[in-house]
Amino acid sequence: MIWILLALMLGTMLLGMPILLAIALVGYVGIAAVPGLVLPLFAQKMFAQLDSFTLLALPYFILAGALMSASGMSKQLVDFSRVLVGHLRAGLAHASVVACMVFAGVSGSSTADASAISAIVIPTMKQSGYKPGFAAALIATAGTIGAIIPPSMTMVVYGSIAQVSIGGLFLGGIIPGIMVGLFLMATIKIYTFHPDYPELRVTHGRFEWGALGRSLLEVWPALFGPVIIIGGILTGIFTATEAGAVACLYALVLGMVFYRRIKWRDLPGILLDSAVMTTMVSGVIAVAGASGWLLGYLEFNEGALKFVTSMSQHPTMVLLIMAAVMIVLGTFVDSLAVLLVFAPAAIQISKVYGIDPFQMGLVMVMCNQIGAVSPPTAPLLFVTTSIAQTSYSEVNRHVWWFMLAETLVLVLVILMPGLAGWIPHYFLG
Amino acid sequence: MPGRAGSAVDRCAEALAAAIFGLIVCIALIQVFCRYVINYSLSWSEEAQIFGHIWIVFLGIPIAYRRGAHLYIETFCDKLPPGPRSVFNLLLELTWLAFALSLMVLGWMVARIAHLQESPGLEVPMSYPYAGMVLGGAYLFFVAVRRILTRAWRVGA
Repeated sequence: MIWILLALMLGTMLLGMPILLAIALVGYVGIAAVPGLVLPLFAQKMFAQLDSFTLLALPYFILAGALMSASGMSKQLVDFSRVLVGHLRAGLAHASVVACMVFAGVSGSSTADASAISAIVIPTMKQSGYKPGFAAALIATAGTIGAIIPPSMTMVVYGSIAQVSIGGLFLGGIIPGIMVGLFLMATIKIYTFHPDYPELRVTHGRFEWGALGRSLLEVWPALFGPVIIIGGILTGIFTATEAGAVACLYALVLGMVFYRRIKWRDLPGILLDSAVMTTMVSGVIAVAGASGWLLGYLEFNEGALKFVTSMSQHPTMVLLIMAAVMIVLGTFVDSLAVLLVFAPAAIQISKVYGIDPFQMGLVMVMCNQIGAVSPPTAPLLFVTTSIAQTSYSEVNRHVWWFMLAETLVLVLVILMPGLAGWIPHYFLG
Repeated sequence: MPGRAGSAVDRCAEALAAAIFGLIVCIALIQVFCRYVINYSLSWSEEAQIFGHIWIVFLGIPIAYRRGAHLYIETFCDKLPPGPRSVFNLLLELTWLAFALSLMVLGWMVARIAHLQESPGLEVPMSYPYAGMVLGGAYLFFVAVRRILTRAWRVGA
């Protein structure tokens, strides 16, 4: 039964049925086919999934992201990053990674991160002779930092399903997120030695403290965002959900008062666009609530656990196997769907093997993000490819090395539980 | 074709979704303000936001469907020749139609039972949040029927 349902889900998705519909279909077929279950259960379970205050962080961070994109802060961040690291070899590439890292501190979505930064950086990179495929692949991968450095919508999704503290997951993302940025910068450094990339060896100007000071005067309101959000959660002033609402207010003030790019009449449009984006995620979560409940009822989670147990008894090996399965599935299917199906099983596995829930969460989130940049089905690559106006295969050719860098960080997070667990356990106990 | 009346319905649904979104963000900010500035926790605010989110999701599903915004994997179906492609699309529209019907009918069935229950925070019948599912389902039904009719129109012409 489970296998038929999973095959139906995978098959309809690969054929091109919208993810939401494919997941709903499986739920309906399953509930209709299993004796003793009645269809209204579907409506009830869908409702129960959305009946959660933690999940509300999702719409709030989506709205905050939309406001930030409209506020013009991404240009400020890129300018600032260029002053900071632009004098290095391949300075523009390094600067775009730094900008993605800082933007990640206020935005919770890798798509928002990748599209906001690439819209500003990629045209400049192309002017400076960078290969468009290189630029698009780099920024798509750097965009994944948006979902690893707090705040993070992916962590909200995982945390609300697996019942893990969202604040703790957020804090756990700080070190791995910064590491992904540094590993990407190291990959760029290696690229500068490659004979086919002479444009990466050009340097522009030099580092000046005066310029940094002037740039800070401009950019400080944008840099203040992460301080409010992470600081507020660390000190317990507000919950992760409330931090989302505060981030909206902050982005609104930034866009309307400081950079004056958002007008009152823009607000209804921004609200509506955010409502649609919310639906695209929350709607899938709602139907996955019903179908996931059904899979749980059919003992899918126990099955997954048994499968993993049969492979290995060692927590590290277990995490490596799970990561491999998720990344492979994520390359073909939508990585949100993979996360939603595996989250309940993951939390059981982490209980049985005594794996730190924050480490498990970070592994799940990072697999989800690596899935989002791994061809053929890679939403983040679609975004940057269209901005770079280049061919998808050209971007695919470049993305492997950046993906490898991120996968190395994932392996380190698996090998060293402290990378994800130390900060949240230190502050939240 | 239901041209003008149809687009008025669209505008209404969009305005409602955007207004609810604005409202729940304001409620969240008031909640933080009340707790940390005047040291008073609201009993109803979290529930109001949750119900608002539910309404946004079910109103948003048809809006996203109309805009073609729902995520799907395009590798296979975009390569189909025009003929099979339109058959495939028609099948998808029919699936949406069935989904809309299920939201309306099942939502209504559960709402009728939930109506007897009172929510702990806002102290309103639990059918209020379910009403979003029924209304969203009805609007999705409307959009799906309009799409199928438009498709039939084009084939007939």
